[in-house]
Amino acid sequence: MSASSFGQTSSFVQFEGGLLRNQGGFFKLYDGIVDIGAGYHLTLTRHLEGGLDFNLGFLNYKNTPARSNFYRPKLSLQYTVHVSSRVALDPVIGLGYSFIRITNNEYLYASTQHGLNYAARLKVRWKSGRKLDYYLFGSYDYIYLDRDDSFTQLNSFRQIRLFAVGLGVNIKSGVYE
Amino acid sequence: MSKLFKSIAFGLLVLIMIGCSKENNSISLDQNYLQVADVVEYCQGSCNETADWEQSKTLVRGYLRDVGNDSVWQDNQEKRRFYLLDIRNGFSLEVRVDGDEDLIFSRLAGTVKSDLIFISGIANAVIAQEGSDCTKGVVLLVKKDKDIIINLE
Repeated sequence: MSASSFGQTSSFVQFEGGLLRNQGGFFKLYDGIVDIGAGYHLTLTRHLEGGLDFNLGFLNYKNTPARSNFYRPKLSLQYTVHVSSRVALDPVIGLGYSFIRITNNEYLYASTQHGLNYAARLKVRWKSGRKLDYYLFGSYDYIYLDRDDSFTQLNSFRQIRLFAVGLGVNIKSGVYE
Repeated sequence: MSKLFKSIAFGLLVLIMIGCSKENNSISLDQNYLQVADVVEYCQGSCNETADWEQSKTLVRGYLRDVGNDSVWQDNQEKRRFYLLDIRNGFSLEVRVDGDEDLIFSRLAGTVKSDLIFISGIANAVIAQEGSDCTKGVVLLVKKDKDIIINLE
């Protein structure tokens, strides 16, 4: 039996945007700009959804042409806590493999680094009872870069920590809850 | 299913904790030319202890900062120093000339911004005091013009 036969949303597409911050490490002199994302989730039970998310984050180094883009696809699992008829809390965990593109056009420099990405996030969602649900989110990404001695020999520089906060929307299919 | 979520969440948390608790590794400063950021990040610490990097031979590569800015370079020469830049993340390393000043600066005068500079020097600790906080940073001492290679010529 499908989730919708229980009177639930069977799947949803999400779009979101927010502000990105890096904590320490290799990018400590950088500022975050934005984080944008999209995802597709299937409802597994009334409380559990699973799906694929893709986030793209931008960092820049102030007053220089140095830029870093973070491409973060991941599989995610979302648990829904129905706080009230109108509000739900959605803790989400994710596991993916991220790519970081570092460029400095002034020196014609470009390099791509990559590694496993562990993610945790919390969404506070307003349940509209219609096709669109809006939410606030806060997320934390921990990326552990694969070893590349020509890039860095320090473990601390291979560990990337990103925080994002922002707004998003779920576009639901099936029965709207 | 909520049990499944909790199990996966716990597993993920453990993985993150393992990743976060990885200690910084010890690196060899004199085997390969290291990036500026690696040297600056590695060669720092508390004023209360002597670290393994102090007075060590150190190989580093980076780009000259302020190339083309004549007034900065004049000031650099007067102060017998210049800076190497890591263009990936903005880290800078101060290089102090402790020897053939004229030969070293005339060698650097022929470079352009995009030249990658390789330097062999000695990591020297410098102290930064802010209130009661005392930390050590690093400057690189270079003695001879032959310790500087441009684009691995």
